[in-house]
Amino acid sequence: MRLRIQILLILVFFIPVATLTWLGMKLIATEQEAVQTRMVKVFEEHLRDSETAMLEVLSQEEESISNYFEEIEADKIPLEPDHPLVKQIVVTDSIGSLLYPDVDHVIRSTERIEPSFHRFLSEDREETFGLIDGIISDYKLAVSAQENEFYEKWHHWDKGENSGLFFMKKMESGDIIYAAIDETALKSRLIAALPAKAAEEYALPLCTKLVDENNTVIYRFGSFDPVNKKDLPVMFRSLSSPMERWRFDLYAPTSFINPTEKISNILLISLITIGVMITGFVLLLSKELRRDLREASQRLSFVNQVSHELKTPLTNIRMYAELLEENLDDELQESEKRHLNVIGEESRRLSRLIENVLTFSKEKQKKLNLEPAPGDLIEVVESTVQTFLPALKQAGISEVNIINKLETKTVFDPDGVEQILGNLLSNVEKYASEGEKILIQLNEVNGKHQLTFLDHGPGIPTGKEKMIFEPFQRLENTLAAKSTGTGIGLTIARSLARRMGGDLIYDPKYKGAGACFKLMLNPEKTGP
Amino acid sequence: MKVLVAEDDQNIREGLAEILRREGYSVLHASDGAVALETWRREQPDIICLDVMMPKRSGYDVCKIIREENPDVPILFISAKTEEIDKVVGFEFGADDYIIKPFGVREVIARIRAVTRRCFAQKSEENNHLNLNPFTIGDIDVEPAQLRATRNGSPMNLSLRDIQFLTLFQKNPGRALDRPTIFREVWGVNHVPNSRTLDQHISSLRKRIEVDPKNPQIVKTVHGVGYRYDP
Repeated sequence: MRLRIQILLILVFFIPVATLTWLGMKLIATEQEAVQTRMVKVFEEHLRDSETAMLEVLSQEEESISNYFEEIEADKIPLEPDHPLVKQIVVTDSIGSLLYPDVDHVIRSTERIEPSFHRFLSEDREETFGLIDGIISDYKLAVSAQENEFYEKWHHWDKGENSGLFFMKKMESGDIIYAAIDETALKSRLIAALPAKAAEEYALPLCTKLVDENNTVIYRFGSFDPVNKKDLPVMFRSLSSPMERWRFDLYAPTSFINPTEKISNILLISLITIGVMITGFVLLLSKELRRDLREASQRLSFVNQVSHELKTPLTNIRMYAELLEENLDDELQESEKRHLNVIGEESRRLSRLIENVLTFSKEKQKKLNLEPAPGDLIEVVESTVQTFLPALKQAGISEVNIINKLETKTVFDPDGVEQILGNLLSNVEKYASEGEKILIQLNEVNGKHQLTFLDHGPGIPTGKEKMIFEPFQRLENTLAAKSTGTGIGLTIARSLARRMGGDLIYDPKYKGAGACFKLMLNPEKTGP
Repeated sequence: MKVLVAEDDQNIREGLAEILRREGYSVLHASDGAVALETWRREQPDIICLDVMMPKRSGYDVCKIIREENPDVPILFISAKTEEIDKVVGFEFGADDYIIKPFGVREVIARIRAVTRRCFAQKSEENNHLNLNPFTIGDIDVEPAQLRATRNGSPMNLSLRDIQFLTLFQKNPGRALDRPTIFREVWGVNHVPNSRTLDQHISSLRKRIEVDPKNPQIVKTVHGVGYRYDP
């Protein structure tokens, strides 16, 4: 089988499978996209809820600190505040002048002082106040119309290595209270608000990390444990003020993230397996077909080889007999001429036998090719009879009459008709020579061109009319049978007739002596 | 005219050679496809007869190669392969005719004469060393290019050898031509004279052109010498 056909067969099977696989993957991808969209919403909801929990805590603490401020009387501001989140309090007037603590305040060693305030009390007080001034002035300049938004809010303060969290409140008196917040305490309260296990209600193993601006993990929660430290989070969320320096990083198993990868792998393996199976099937099929073709070719080659091997010596016999006849024409005696004639006739008979066998073989292999075309049937009839005349005369047939009443051309293959007529004449020579006469009539019957072949021999016994057309059937099959033959002549003749669009029949109703065969062929179509 | 016969069966090859020599052709032999190609290139024959199934190179291959080198030289396939496709393949390769084994002598002669006529139509008179102009000898009109003569409109097919004979006699009216002269002019100077061969050819010629071959009027016998044409 040609490579091109093999490839075509593979594609014929493979393309539908690949198309179905692609559609399946597409469907899965679409489905997975929907799942991922839902997953994203779940993740977003989880992080939002976590932030909300923390913001609620902040809101509560804001209120708590705010209430604490309300309780402090201006002149009784404790150096060590007794609010759990407030480390130190600073009070300024509305223009930023420091009211508390008093700059001349003597620090007792037992008092706990916020380090930043300690510096201002010692050496950095100007700088510290400068920063506080800066914060206040910045806010005043930026949002002068809405300054209230900056009070009762959390603010960050950065100075080199120091940083801090402040809560500011504007009192009724117009003074501003700054509370330095214990970030550690606040952090722990915020973290306490986070769930220990994330999204249990979603039945998803996740890992949420609370991370600061230096990517240091402040806290993590969730049942999933990222194995690879280089894994990136599937989602992150920056938190709002005053937690803007923190963010949530969310981690999830990759199977949640790319389930299609697993399915794609399965599909790919399936596709490859199917592809291999189809390829194997096609190769096996082509191997079988190649073997069949090889065997058919060998059979045909055998037929051709036998044909060549038989025809070559036959060619020599016939050619040299004719050469001898021509060379010695004037010198031969009658008996010698007859001898040569016998050689020639027998070689022609052998040639016809070989042709019959080959035709029979080709017919069996459906390789018999005929080319029917319009022509004058009488020409082939006359030339064939002429060829057989010497043999017929030798067999005792003295008269061959040909009557032609056809007026139009007949559609036939000359070699085919020659072989049909040759078989009929050969049968007469074998079986009906005592009749001494043959009549061949050509006429039109019921729209067909009919060749009627009549001999005056013993005819076909009743009951054997159909048998004579079957292969290998002879009227006498015994070794003692008078006549010879292979029993395939009429089989071939009928087959040839039918291949030309006609038929060969035996007419049992013929009342005369001998056998009547009728060869029906089609007339040439003329006109519209 | 030279004819190359390429056939692996020696008997067929020699039988064909004899038929062709009798027709008036000089014959070249090849027993396989390779020798056929070598002979073609060396001798440049006028007509080529190729068997299809030959050793070394098939007739199809040889035909294809010859066609590439000379698209005009007549090529006949002689083969036992009778399938329609075999003939079609043969013609596709460039053959001019296809003769199927077993063939009769007359069939070969008829086909080779048809090819020769086509050959004459292609080649010029000088290349043929033959007078292709029609002429009259006795009461027959000879058409060398058609390998034919007519008497009162009735055609007679002639071989190349016949034409060579008649041309020789027509050019030498009234002159008794001896055997060596006839052999030299018709067969060529290298041919070994064989008296019986000449007589057989004359006998065949008379059967074709004489009204009464036993009482010839055109090619008459000159006993002890040879033959003569008396106008």
